[in-house]
Amino acid sequence: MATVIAPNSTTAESSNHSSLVGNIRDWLLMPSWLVIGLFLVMPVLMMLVYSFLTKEFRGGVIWEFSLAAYDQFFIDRGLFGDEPIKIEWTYINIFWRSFWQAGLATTFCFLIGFPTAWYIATRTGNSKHIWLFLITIPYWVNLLIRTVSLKFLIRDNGPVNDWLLTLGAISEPLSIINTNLAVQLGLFYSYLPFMVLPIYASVERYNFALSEAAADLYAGRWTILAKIVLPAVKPGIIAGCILVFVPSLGAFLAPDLLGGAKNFMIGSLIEEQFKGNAGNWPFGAAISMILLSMVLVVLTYYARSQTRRENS
Amino acid sequence: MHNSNSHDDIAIAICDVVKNYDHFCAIKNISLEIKDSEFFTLLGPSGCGKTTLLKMIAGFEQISTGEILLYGKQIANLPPNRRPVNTVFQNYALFPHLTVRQNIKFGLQMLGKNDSECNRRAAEMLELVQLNSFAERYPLQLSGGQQQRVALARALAPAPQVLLLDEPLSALDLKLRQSMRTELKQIQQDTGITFIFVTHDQEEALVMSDRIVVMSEGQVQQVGSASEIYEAPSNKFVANFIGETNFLSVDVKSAIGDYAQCRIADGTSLQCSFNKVHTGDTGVISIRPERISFCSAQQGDLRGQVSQRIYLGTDVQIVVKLPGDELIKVRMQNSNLVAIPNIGDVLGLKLEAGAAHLLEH
Repeated sequence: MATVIAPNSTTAESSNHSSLVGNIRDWLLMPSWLVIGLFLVMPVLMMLVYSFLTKEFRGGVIWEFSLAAYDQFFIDRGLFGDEPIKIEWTYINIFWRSFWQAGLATTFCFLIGFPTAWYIATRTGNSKHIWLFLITIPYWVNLLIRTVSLKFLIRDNGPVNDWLLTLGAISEPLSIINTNLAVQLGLFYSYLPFMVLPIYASVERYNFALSEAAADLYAGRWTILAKIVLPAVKPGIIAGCILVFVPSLGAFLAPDLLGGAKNFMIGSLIEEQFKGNAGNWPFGAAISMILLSMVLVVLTYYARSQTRRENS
Repeated sequence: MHNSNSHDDIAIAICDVVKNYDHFCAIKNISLEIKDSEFFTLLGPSGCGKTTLLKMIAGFEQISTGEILLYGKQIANLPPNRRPVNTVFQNYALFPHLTVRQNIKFGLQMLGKNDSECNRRAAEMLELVQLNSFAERYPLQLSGGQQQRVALARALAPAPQVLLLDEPLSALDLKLRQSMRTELKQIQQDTGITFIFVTHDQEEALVMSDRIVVMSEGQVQQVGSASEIYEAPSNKFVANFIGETNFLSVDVKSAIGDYAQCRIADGTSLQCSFNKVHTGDTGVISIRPERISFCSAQQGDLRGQVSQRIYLGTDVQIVVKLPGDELIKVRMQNSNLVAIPNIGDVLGLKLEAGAAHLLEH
């Protein structure tokens, strides 16, 4: 009898055991789920809800459904709201300029970041770690402070202009401040490491025997770079581009402090809606939502095209 | 140094090549001639300079001094992509983002061959390495053996004048390695391309090569066919590195013609062959374990007591202790026809004619 029963009882025990382990695992994961839920999902949901509410004039919202925020973004009804409906270009233009600026900043970061990452990744021994360390040092200082310092460096009578004048390279101060160039400098300086670090990680994993193999098969330097190296380190490049592009798009410190009023970007527009009494919370939330959905569309499209390529 | 007639039958001539790194000398003046359509093996322990030498032929390492000639043409100053030689890399170095077919076509495309030519040649190579049905797979979807074949096909596709193979079998498991040996040899004979093969595995070298160079510490120890190197090692290093052997220190009593009369520690006299002028009155003799047989204690060239018996499947290895405390390994076939000695037996050892080689210390 006992021998017949024994197998049954062991299976029952083991299934009990595994469900118990499963429970423990769920419980141990709870804190992470809570943090993600509270601090990542909830704020986005709040923004989504706020964007459909009515604005309170001194900041804040009235809990009453309204499409006014989206209406304000897309539709021009004239100054007094009685003219024929037209497309409102003001905000779309700001979006366009922001995408352009962010794209440009990403391009610059890539052009400088890729060789930098390559250089660091191909160092041997300790110097690799020292270089990485040096790259991250500026990030120990608050972004605001760094941006303000940059402003001091490049202003009309700042050190950069002083040096150039002393050296005789220019005859009168360059006006860099309050131009697109200044914004680009700010974005570039703020986000360069986000480009360097992921590319560094990719290059470090790159099997240099592949370059040798390509050279052995009659490929020249540039062909090797284009056909072998870039495809191999592509994940790092893409990660770097996303990490630079997305925050550049929403940046407000660099455009505000370095770009002046002419070089307004989405980040500043959103910031304004939540600042002081003049703000419009639903409008700010709506801009955020529009931005978020555009970024999602771009990333989804990219992810789709990647999987398609891998499947083909 | 080379007259024009020899260019056709010498594929690669390495002349007085030296490679210095900052703190050590990897290649200490090597000269070698590798014949056309030959399966030539660079054999040696790790760090002997064999891979460095191969990389210098491929162009990945610069030579410090000397010349490398490919069919009479100086190639030492050309970059790798301008040398008509191709390499099979140790870990294959297949391009992970390209399919098997694209990998094989890569070299052809770089040479500017047109599409139809590339496709035709790729199909030929896929046929050669029997990977037709895997042409559209990516390297990571293949087994180690299949990746190995792709690497071979990719390197052979541009029809190189010389194919370099850098320990290509070392990542495969034993069975696969053994079958790839015959296959590689077959492909080499079918294509008629000169193969330069680097390995540290002496068995691999003996099985496949037309000629072998044994290297150690950046120097050539011996060049010759497998049997020459095994049967007549030119020094103690080669005798020790290739196969198994017994060494006995001896005093050289006399040397006449090809034979020398030597005396081992316990006073026994032995006749040894030697292939080099022997200087000095001491030396070491090498005797292969399979060239020794047993006889009664009163007969034989040597006498000793069996101290160990190791079962090896096809063979049995017996260790015999000589009166002077030296240990001699003897290999005999595991057969019912001959009685296998027991531990403690005192027996005579008979050496085959020419089995004992006198070498310098």
